[in-house]
Formats: sequence, C-alpha cells, structure tokens
Amino acid sequence: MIWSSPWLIGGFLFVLLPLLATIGLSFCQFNGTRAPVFCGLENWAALFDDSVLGLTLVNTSTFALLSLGLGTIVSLATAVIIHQAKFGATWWRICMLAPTMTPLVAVGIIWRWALNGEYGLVNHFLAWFGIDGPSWLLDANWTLPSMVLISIWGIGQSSLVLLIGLSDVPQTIQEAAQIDGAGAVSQFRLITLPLVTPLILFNLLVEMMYVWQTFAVPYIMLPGGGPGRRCYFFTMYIYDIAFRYQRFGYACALCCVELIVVLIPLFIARMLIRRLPIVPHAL
Amino acid sequence: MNVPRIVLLAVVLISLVVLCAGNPARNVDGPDGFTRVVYWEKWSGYEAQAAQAVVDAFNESVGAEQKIFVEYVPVANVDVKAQVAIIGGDPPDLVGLWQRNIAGFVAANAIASLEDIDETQSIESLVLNPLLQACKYHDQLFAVPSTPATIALYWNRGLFAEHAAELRDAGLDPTRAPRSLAELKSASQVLSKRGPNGKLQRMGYLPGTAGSFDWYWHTWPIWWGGTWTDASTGRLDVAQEDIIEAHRWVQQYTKEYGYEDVLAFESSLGEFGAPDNPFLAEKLAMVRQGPWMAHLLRRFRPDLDVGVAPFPTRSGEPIGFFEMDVLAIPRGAKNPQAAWTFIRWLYDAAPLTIKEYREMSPWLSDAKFDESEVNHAEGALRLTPIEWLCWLQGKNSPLATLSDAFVATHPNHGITAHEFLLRQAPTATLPLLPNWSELLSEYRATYGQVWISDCDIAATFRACQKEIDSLTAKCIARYHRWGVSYP
Repeated sequence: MIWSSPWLIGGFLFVLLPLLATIGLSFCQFNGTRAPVFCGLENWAALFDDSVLGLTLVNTSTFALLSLGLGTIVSLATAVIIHQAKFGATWWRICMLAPTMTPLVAVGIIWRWALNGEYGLVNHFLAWFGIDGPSWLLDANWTLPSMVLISIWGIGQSSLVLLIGLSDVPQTIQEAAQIDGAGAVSQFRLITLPLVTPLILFNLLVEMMYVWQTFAVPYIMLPGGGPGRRCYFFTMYIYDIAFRYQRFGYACALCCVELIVVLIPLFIARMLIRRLPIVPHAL
Repeated sequence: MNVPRIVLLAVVLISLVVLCAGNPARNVDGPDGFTRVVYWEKWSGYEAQAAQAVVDAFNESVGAEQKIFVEYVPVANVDVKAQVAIIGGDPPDLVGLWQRNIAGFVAANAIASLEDIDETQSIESLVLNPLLQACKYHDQLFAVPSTPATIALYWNRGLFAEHAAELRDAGLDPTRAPRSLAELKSASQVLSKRGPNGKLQRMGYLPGTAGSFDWYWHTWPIWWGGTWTDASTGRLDVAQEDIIEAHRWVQQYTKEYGYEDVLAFESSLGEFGAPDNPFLAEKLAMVRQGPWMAHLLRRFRPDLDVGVAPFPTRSGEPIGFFEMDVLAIPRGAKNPQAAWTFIRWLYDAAPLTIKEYREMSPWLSDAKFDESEVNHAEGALRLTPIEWLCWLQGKNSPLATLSDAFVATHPNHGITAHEFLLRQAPTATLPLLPNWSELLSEYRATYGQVWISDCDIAATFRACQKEIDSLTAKCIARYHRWGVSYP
C-alpha cells in the first residue's frame, strides 16, 4: 500500500478527479474566470443543436475509418516484408520506427511542404508518372485524403507489434503446410493471418484512441480545418470551444462524448477478441 | 500497517496536496527590492526586440527612479495562455492582446477596467479617438493601444511601369495605384501572366484562402462600403445585401482566372516572412497589407520600387481600416499599479531622440536603422516611448497628435498613406463582439466555400447567418445568466 500510494494518489488527482470534474462541469456554465453556474442539461441538449459538432463527428469518423484501414494494411505489409528480410533487419526496424519519434509539430511542417501543390515532393513524385497532382492542402476534395496519407507516417509502432506477432508464428505449422503443398499466399492467408489477428485487433484499438485524438498535425497544417472544414476534427473543436471561445462547460460535455465514442467500439472489439481462439494476455 | 508507515503515507499525501492545490505566491519583487511587472506579449523577432528596447528604456529611467522592473516575456498564442494563467490565478501583470480579444476578455471578467486602477483621462486625451473607442467596452476603458496599423494597398511600381502601355489601353493610369475595386480588377488582369503551360505565373491581385498570405480576407464588406453588424442590434449580420454583393464580386473575380488555376497558383506562393513572400518575389503585383511590410522590403528586396496607397473601395473613396495590438491588465494581477505606471510612461514620458533610445539598448541590431534617418533624428526630432515602439515595429502612431519626427524618420516611406487612412479617411475596424472569434470561424468557413466555387452566394451566407444567429442566441443566454449584456 505504502509503495503503491504515489500511483494511487496520482491516479486519483490526475485521472479520476479530472474525470469527475469534467462530468460535473458538463452540467455547468463555466468560462474559467467566473464561478461555475449549474445549468442542468443545457450543455448536453446543445449537443443535438450543434451543426459543427455533427461535421466534426463525420470528419473524424471518416478519417478514423480510412486511416485505420489503410494503416492496418500498410503496417501488416511492412511487418511481413521486414520479417522476411534476409539482411539488415535491425536497420529496417529503425527506419520503420524513426518517423514515430519525430515531434508532431515537425511532422506537420514537413508534410506541409511535401504536399505543396506546385513545389511539393509528393506532386514531384507523381509527375514522374505523368500525373498532375492536386493542390492537396488548398482543394477541399483533397485535404482529408492528405491527412490519411500523413497518418501512414506513424505506423511504426503497429508494425513493430505485428512483427513480434509474426516472429511468434510457429515454424512447425508453416513447415507442415509446406509439406502439404500450401503456397506462400495460402500459408499467409490460412496460418499467419489468423494467428496475428488478435494483434491486428489490438493495434486497431490502440490506434483508434489515437486517431480520435488527432490534433497537432491538422491544427498546424490546416488551421480551422482547411477548406470546407473537411479536416476539422473532434479534438480540434473541443480545443477551440474551451480555449478560444471560453466555453469550458460545453467543452466538458464534448469531452464526455469523446469518451463515450471511444469506449463503445472498445467494448465491441473486446467482445470480438474474446471470441478469438488466441487471446493476448494484455487484453 | 504500523504507525511509521501511516506517518510516511500522511507526509506523502500532505506534500502532494500542498504541491498540487497550493498556489505559491510568485516573488513579486524584482532585483534589489524592485517591484517586478511581468509583461506577456505576442511579439517575436524584430517586434520583440522593439518591445524589449522600450522596456529597457523604462527600466533605465522611470523604472529605476520608482523601483519598478518590467520583465518582457514573449508568449506565443498569448490570448489563450493569458486566459489559462488568469483562470489559474497567476496571471502576468500586463498582457499584450489583440484588439479583437477585448470584448471577450471583458465579458469573461478576465481583464480589469483601467478606470478602476487609476484616472485614465490624462492618457485618453493623448490617444487618437477611433483607437480609444475601440479599446472601450460599455463605455469603460479596458485597454490602451500599443501598436495600431491601417491596411493599405502595396503595389509594385516597377511592374506598373513595365506594363504602362497595356494599363493605359485598359483605361488605367500606370503612375498611380487603383482606387476603385473595378480598377483593381482591370489592373490585375493586365498584370497577370501565364506560362507556356497555361499556368498562372503572376497575378495582379489575388483574394486568397483565409489565413494564407491574405490576412484580411474578412474585410471585403468594408471595402464594399458596408459593415459587419446590424446598425439597430449591433449583432453580426452577414446576410446583408452589401456583404453578399462584396463576396459575389470576390467569387466572380476568382472565377475569371479559373478556380483550378488559382488554387495551383496559390500553392506556389511562399511564406509571408521570407524572401519568397509572393509580393517580394513579384508573383503578386499588389497586396493588401499593413505598414510592417517596410521591414520585409528593407530586409529582402530593398531594390523593389513599391508604392503605398489606400486599398481600393467600391466607390473609390478611401476607407481607413485599422486593427491594433493593445495593452491590458489582467484581473488578479499582482502589481496593477506598477503596470499602469509603465503604460502611462509609454504615453506621457518626455520625448527622446532615436540616438538616446539606442544608447539605452545598444544590443539593438544596426541593420534596423538607416543611418541617414538616425542622423536626421539626432537633432531636435524626438519621439515618445509609444512612438518609438511603433517606429521600431514600422506601424502607425496611436497618438492624437502626430509628431513630425515620427513621419519624417519612419522606416516605412509609405507611412504618410497609412497615417492619412487613420487620421483623415473615414475609419472602420472590427466590431466589439464578445464572441467574435467564434462567429469569425463560421464566417471564415463560409468565405472558404465562396471564394473558390460556384456556390449560390446569397444562400450560403443566409445559411451562415442562421448559424451565427444560433451562436449569438446561445451567447446571450449565457451572458444573461451572468448579468452581462450583449454586445
């Protein structure tokens, strides 16, 4: 008890207390400088009359679906390639993880240049194939795909988890399948993929929490959400409501919504994972 | 659990509670028993150097006499951070906000009325009236101008001369800047240039994406001759015919160049504070900017022949649109009186020559000074500290009486045009609405939609107004609960 007390106290002061305060303040009108005034369900009712909230939910959900889907495919492909690499596996792993160690502000600035419609690296690369790239960050139709593309930058952690999973796939099963005449694709589809599925789901859960909190990169690259507010995400909206518009009570209600939105798929995924034949202990 | 363990646990708990809940009083005394005034300001780069130079001058003169030490702290996003500091009960003594923050901070009870700190009449009599009025909310003074700036048209005289014949053919005078929006459009068409691939290489003028190189995207209603607010209610009304017409003009203007082409061209434009600034790189022949442009021109393109003129309006009559940075004293400041002493000194201290000011800040970069100007100023020409600050930052003077020294030695040779706009033309500025930033976000989203698409302007702005009305109604309900009136 005595040795765990710092964590218990820390958990109470910095997690539980703020959580309870957030829930409590969501029933108040509060701007930080004036005393909170109880306003009942006003903030919660306002959620249903907020078109910007609807927009941010749609934007964030679309972004989450696309970036999680694409991120999973790319991270799995990366892990498989590195797993099968005959030489320099350590260097490949470093290369894979290096982008995740870059500060997000720097990532935003680098990508703003890379996605420049006229001088950017991405369009320069596309021009090699005769493709006239779009104005990624100025054209409302291309801002969200740009953000999805950038999200791939941070797949290193997911790939690492999958790489560990791939290393744990028993060699004997694969050898047995080979003897039975299974090709590489069949082995991957019927043996490797089912065995790493729990880790894929684990990645999806963790990444989903990150994706729902996406803030720094779009905030730097596309202030206000960019053209048509297509990249105005939920956390950006909470920040604006709290710190730019000084409506802390409503911001607290939005935080509660975010908590609920993240928890629902978490419970669904947890149920799904429990039905799987192999369940990682962490889950 | 034995007794010593319980004691240890209690000590850990109490320490944590004291550390977390306590608000240890900041040491408000400066060096050697001086009262320290912590001054948060948004400026960085040469603007921060200017502020530091003025602070140095205070610390060496009145500060030393009255034992007040002003500590200048540059803070990015100062409005947000000041608000958090005020909420946390540990605000700075003085904060440099933007004019647009005043109403919101007053409604939030975050800044103090200066009239509660001391008599303000002596300062009020020194400040130019339109600026003073913009610092008042419900007839009380909550801030004083630090560095005001009027927005003007910066035009490339060299390009105008190069295309003189074509401009004349279009019925324009190549020796002067366009005065009306129609002239601006014609001049832009003449000066715009496409490359062999058909892409735009240069544009005469471009109303760009909100927040890009064009910081004043929201001012179109002003140049059109309208206002943002409904005269009877004082509330934001973007569904007014003038505003709709102004944006229809912007939409048509962009359409003539082709939306795709304009976006591609805008992508090619560089950063504002860099040598590839589109105006300095001659990718734009005309831009809507403030007097600080002089610093960029001097640093990166001293060879560029640039004119400064009132930004064109629909009627052709100049309008002096201004915005300004302001100084305010947060609620809960530890040393409001000392902060006020600094503000007073800025305005009513005895004027000094530039040479005398420089002697107090020998670290100031010589690159900022044109020696002939400095020599000129060594004579009888003297500046008050507030003029010295605005001079260094290349901005307008906030004083009701414009000194000869200020205009004669100003680093922006076009300052006469900027001062004309502030003092002789009809002025316009941002409305004093406490929820302006929230409303501006809606307006910005709408502007982003209309300037580069074929959408129905009237319908889009009506939809925007509906959102604005809803936000305003909610704001009024909140303020009603606090007993604060809107606007």
